[in-house]
Amino acid sequence: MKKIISMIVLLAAAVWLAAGSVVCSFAADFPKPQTGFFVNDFADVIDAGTEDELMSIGASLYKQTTAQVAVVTVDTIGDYSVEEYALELGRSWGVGTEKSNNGVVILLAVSERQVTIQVGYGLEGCLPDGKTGRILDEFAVPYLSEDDFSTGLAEAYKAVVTVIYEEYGVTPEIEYGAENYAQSSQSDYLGMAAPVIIILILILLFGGGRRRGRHIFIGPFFGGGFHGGSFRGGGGGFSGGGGSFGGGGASRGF
Amino acid sequence: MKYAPGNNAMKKKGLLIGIGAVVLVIVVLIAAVASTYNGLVSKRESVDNAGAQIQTYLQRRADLIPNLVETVKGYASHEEDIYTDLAEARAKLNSASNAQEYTEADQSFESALSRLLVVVENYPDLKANENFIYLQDELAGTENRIATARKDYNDAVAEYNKAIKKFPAVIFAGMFGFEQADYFEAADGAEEVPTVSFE
Repeated sequence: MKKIISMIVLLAAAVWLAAGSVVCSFAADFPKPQTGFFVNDFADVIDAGTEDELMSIGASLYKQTTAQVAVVTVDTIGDYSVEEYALELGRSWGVGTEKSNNGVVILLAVSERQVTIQVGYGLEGCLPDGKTGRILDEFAVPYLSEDDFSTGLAEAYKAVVTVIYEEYGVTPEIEYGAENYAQSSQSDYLGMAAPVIIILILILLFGGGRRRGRHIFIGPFFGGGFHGGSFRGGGGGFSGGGGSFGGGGASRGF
Repeated sequence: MKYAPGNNAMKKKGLLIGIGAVVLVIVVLIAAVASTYNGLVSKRESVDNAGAQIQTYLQRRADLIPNLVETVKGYASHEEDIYTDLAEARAKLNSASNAQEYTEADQSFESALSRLLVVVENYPDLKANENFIYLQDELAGTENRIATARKDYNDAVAEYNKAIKKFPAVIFAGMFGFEQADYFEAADGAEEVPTVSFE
């Protein structure tokens, strides 16, 4: 009797657990981040020196502000649009912290000759779509169209990093010529950006909890499973902090 | 007879264990139901939130239009029809109160927007205008946000619909009023998001 009852209890518990468990999986055809995290040159188009430089800038920015900027190159994005692909990478890698969603993904698709900057929710205020488009036009496309992918991506990377440093009001500890990327014409756009900023604030006020729909499901089961971009120690490896993206940013063909 | 009290005590003990086990099963079941119920509530909430997010971005797109129209007007002043259509569609969107109205307003909006962008092709100076490029990026980014929000919404609906069909939720989901949620499906012709190109 006792055995039967305890078996029923166990069985019920097992069924409940099995029925309730949430499997969190990501599409298998997207690459995993490399240990350097800030530079993921899958298409092998960035030269080693630039890669090291961007890696140090990314690490320094992360240390000073917790924001993460990841540059990714791939041979092809298949049937995805360049925005979709970058967004999926940003979300599945968790670029930026879960709390601030302060991540940016710069993706270059070599075969498609397309580049995109995708901005995490938390940085949409300082990197509105129009501004990311301008960064691409001004800093990346002139080099990318000449097939100088290394320089184009490095310039865009530095421009984005500079905006984030400004947003956080932090002076970069690392020297990369930040003054060359300061957007002097920023104020020209202030009037035009105002409605957008107001809308963003409204979204923040009324839609705060909506942003990370996916995580809501996971929360009760794996509470606290995400860490704010943790240092993985040894070898200078970095990983994502659970930041999310909503599709903000701009893209260019070149 | 000598051992009868002992037997009784054993029987009692057995009975107590039996009762205890039954109580335990009941407690576990209640816990399971409560936990599943709460899970369903938060999943339904996610569906609602994801739906609201789509409308927020539709609104955001509509709010970008007056600025865009102003810029385009500077170069293409005689395209009054399109400006009127856009203004009307925007007013419809602003007064929309349910999903149906939103979808309808959104459709007329997208068709007017596509026409605007076709017109733009005829004005190379306009296409090179910095303000215009800026606004067009905002527009493209918002389109992308809408697409993302719709995908997230459908993911949330899939998650929720799956959850209410699973055991043990399936037993009581209907009882507590958890009904299937509808997927977002683009209406005929509306799948074609106005293409913003920089070629």
